[in-house]
Amino acid sequence: MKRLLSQMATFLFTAAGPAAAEEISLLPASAYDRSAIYIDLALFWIATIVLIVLIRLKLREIERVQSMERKEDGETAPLLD
Amino acid sequence: MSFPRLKGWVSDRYDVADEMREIARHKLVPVHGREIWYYTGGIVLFLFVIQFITGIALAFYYVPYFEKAHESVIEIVTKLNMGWFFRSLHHWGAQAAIFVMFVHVFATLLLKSYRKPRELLWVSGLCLLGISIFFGLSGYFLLWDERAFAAVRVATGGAGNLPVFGGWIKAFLRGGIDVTGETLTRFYAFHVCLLPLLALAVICFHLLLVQFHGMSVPLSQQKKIVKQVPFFPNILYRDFMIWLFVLAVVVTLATLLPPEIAKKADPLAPPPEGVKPEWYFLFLFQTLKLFPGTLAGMNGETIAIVLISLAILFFFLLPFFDRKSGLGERSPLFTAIGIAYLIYFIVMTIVGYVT
Amino acid sequence: MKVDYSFITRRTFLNALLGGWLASFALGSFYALYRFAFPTLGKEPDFVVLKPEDFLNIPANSTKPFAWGGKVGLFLKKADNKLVALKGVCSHMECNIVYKPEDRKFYCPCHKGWFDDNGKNVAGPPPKRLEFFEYRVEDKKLIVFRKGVKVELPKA
Repeated sequence: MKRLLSQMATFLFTAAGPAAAEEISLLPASAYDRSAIYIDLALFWIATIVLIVLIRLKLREIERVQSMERKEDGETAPLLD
Repeated sequence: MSFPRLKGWVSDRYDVADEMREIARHKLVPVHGREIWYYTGGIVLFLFVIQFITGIALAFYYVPYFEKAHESVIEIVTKLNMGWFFRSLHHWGAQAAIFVMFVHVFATLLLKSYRKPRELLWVSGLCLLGISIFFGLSGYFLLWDERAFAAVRVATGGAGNLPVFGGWIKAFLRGGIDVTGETLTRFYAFHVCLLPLLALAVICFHLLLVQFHGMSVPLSQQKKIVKQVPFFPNILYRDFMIWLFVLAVVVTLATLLPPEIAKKADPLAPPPEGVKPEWYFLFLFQTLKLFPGTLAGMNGETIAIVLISLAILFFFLLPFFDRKSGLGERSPLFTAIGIAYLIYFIVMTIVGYVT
Repeated sequence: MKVDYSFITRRTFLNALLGGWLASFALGSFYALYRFAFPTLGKEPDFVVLKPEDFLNIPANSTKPFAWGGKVGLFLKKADNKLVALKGVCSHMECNIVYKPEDRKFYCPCHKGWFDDNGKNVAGPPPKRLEFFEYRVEDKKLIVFRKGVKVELPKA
């Protein structure tokens, strides 16, 4: 349930950025359109950086576990952990 | 989320999951001081994927008939939802792909990854570089504006100066004696059909060889390898992080610096002021400018093109000339040659840019 | 309420977080592509403006086509000189229909459907009648509009 809610929130957050602020864009004409583009760019960067951070979290966890040198369940351990 | 029933359905019919996992588990990447250069190839691959996606999107609306081509691009940029963005992303993706490709080429050159047994990787890689440059030229031309028209006229004219094959190559590229609407149709076929298929084939070959040989370790690092890490998931996740960052950079460039659209091409008009080819051609044209019109009674340009071709050919066949590194010995001569090529390329590109 | 154990493992938590964010990131990005691939899904217009002299005086028992958005509209002057406007599109699979003056019926060649000159489907597969429009002449303009639509032209 919590997972579902957090997924929906993140979806609305990222999709709402490009969706809400601009429907049709051209090379910046009005100030409103121009600011929409910059805001969307900022939102995109934030979304990207959060994604990079999350991947790093996952990677660090994997490396933490690997460094414990667990004799893993052999061949059946999942590949992407 | 593990979907055991779905997995059961597949494994009842195609019981290869365990073998595949074993193979994947054995893919190891050595860790050493120069490992950062390993990521350049993956970045190029990622950028190619972006180019495929944005290219397909643009192909939905682009009209390859010379009367309509320019107009269709303007329509894409002005009338379609986010059309300007996808065109801009396609443009900057191309610039980034070719740039990172040069980085990748020079990195493998200076780290001598081309040495035995990886000679075919070097050769196929340079083929990919050539394919990408041709992608760039043909794609640029599709805009059918003054600058692109002049650029293609010069590029195909230059190709025409190659001895023996020059005239034939020029006619093949142009689809006639001069650059016309026929050239546009032809370049569209190159850009959208021939080159993608060729690129896919060579990329598959290149990647297959990488899987087969594993990652090359520079001679200077061979005693210093700390350990080997599994590709899945350690390196793969690092790849993803880097690719995301690259995506963000390219998206930023695409958003803030959309490429211009000059006036529609007029075959009878003179080229616009200060027209220059794309940056990855600059070093070639600067080299051409170094040679005088006639040299020892022969056409200076032909001599220049022959010399350039010889230099490129030598570059292609470098692994076969560099015997020492093939034997696992240090090869300072070829390091120097590699550095010379790199410096020449950078200097000539910069000079071409500022003049 | 304190519990001794966590309800979800660290692995599940990380996977869910990463997977969820990745899914929404990908969806958001592909949404942009989706908007690009489906341009303004052309809606049919509510009305079109034509020149009266082109259509009011066509001969009896004949039709004249006009553009209705991307589709074809037809003015039909019936044998008794009554002028009607309709969408020239078959109600079966949207092929363009043709008027057969000798039968005083509309014929759809795709599946051999027939409509009478009031638009009623009389033979063949078409399930519904043809769509008829209303029209009026205003200020030297012939306005053809869908039934029930209020048309207000800007004062040019």
